[in-house]
Amino acid sequence: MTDSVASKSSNQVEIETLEQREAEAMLHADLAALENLWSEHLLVNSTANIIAGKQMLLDLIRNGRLRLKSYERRTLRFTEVGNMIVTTGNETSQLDSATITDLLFCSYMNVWVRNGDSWQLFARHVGLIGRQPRQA
Amino acid sequence: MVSPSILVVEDDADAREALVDILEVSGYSVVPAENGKKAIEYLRAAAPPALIILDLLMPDMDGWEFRSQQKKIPNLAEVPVVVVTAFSGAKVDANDVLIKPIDVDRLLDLVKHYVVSEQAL
Repeated sequence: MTDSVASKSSNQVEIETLEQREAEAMLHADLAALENLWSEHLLVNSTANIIAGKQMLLDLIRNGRLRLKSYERRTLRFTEVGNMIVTTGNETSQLDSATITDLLFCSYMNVWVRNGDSWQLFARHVGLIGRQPRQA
Repeated sequence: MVSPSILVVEDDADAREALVDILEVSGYSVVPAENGKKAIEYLRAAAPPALIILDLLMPDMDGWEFRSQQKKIPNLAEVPVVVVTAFSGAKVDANDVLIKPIDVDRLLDLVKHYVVSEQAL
């Protein structure tokens, strides 16, 4: 079943909330929240053309190497099958970095999988749409 | 103890910074260079690194020309090189080749292999 955000199942409403919670956790480097929201099997393919797993991503955040100055996510479509929901949409972000200061416009695809009573982010792909120069 | 140094030669700033962060968080000392020319200038003035991670398609001096220059410098010729490239059909003289997107686990396995091998010599 594929739906726009206008006609959502209860699972999709829950996932939309989790999508925003995960983006907030990234913005605030909330490691405890990310530990819960991310599957142990999480795989992320990033705009830097790097494929990383959960522990490396948490290490980068813990060490201050992956920090965001701003982060907004807009979920545009859901597709749901069994215990899996795939979302896709766009994101706007700015790294908290002395060397990379551009505002990044990206598309993304997230795969959420039900794990017991909760949903966890299982896989994520981010593609760069464009960038706009900004001050650090 | 000084951690072993790795030279990262990559023109894409996002990829270069990500590689530096991943390697430093993993305990290595890293020197970034934005193209082959800058890397050769650095290598002529510094101690040889334990490993070079090399992109191929770069402005000013690409990865193939870097390898040609590197092999002409006696104390640098034997420094191992791991090429990282989106160019899956690339023919290049290197110890290993990783196709982008780079799998961090595979990269760190290779780094560990070559850096340990170099230190054991």
